[in-house]
Amino acid sequence: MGRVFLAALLALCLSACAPFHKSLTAESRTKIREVDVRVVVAQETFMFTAQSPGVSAAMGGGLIPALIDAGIQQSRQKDLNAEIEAVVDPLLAYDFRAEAKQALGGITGQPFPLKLGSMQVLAAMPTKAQHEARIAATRSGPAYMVLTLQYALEPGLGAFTTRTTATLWQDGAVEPSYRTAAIFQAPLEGGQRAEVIKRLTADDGLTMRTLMRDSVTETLRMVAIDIGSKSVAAAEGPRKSFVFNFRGTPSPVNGATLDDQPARVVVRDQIGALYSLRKVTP
Amino acid sequence: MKLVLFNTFALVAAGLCPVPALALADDEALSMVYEEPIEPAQRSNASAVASTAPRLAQTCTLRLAKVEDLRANPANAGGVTFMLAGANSTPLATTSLKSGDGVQWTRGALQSLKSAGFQVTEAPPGATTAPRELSADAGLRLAHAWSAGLNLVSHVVLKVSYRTPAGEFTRQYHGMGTRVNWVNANTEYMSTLNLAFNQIMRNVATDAAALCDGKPLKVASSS
Repeated sequence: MGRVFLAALLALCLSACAPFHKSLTAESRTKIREVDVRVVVAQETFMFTAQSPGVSAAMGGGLIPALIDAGIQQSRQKDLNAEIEAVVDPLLAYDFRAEAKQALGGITGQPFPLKLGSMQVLAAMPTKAQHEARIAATRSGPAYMVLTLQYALEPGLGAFTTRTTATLWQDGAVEPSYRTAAIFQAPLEGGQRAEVIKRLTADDGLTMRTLMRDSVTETLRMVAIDIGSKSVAAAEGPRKSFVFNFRGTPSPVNGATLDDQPARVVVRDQIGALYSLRKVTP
Repeated sequence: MKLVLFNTFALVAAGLCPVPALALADDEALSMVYEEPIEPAQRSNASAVASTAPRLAQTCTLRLAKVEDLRANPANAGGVTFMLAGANSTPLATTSLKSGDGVQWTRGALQSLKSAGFQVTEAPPGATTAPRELSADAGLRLAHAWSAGLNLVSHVVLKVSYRTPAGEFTRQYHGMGTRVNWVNANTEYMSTLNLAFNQIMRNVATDAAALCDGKPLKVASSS
């Protein structure tokens, strides 16, 4: 029994390390008459998490290094408490899910490479049983796309980021026919914490709520561009470097431009992850 | 052998990737039963009992007028999302935490103020207060737990409006909890949420005692 579980866990771990992007083949695409979309937002507000020091990874695993990691991370997390309170308290009034619903309402009628059926925002991930039943229902019903979205403010409040996995199931198959990673980021104007929060919450949170809605709209646009484009390999054009705020630090993203709008650019990196980034004003 | 035995630490110990969404029962609601902290001094004693918090108020009555669940989504209390560490990582596996009764949890937390010396009673909304009596409306605004590496983290927010003979005072309390994620079980998430609520109740006790004594409230602090 134990071997079965270990094998299953190993498979899960290996799948986590496997290439993530899976293009929708022309054959699969032609079979889709309609797709139901669910945006899963399984968090109640902004989360701030202290980084683990990585002792365990550096030492190749083991219980003692893992305990050292956990202890240091706990201590760092406690140090963040005052910061978390100061940031989350004024933002608690703005509900990402409510804004996501509004964004989905505005998407109906927008161009999408697949015919859209029902679109909903879910406050929780369906249970395993519900999820499996929904996938099984694609055998005779619409295809099923789940966008699992996580939103965050980067440390230092330099950017608002959403990270989404979009997965598509069809024809009753357990294996998804399409999967991609879509990352939206909007830099926030600099300044002290209080200044940034004041800007985000001014006019009944207009800036914060607009960012939340834009992130959902833009995420679906990225997915639409990805599905509508050629395969990852075929789409490889000249690569450019773009600035991305990763955990509060500027980090270059090297990728091919898939879409270039006046304000934003959609980029695909070397493993197929999509980014929607605001253009830097020269 | 139960699945819960193959926990995060077992995987880390084996040098594999940690996948924290394994033991969590996604169809089972958290109990939402408030538990008082265990005093460190009592931990070495096998018959450890709930905290005997500092007795802040010997003759203060706290009348609970209204206890509400004001969360935007009372059905859930966060969740577990597994993501790799890179800049281009996105959620690989997500399991949501189903919440139990938030009102029961909040009421239980407020009732625990008896340990700090308060007489806690139920009172109709708008009830007038006498000297050394407080009336309180409490609303749970956030109960959020998540996994972070090898730990669990929680954030709870409670809004309390006090009515005293001297006037009305409203304060929003934040509490945060963190503990090691041993088996990623629902009970561990509940205990992490209780750690955050413990922190809030310490601050509520301090404020309520000050108001009973006719003193001003101190500047809020999360620690």
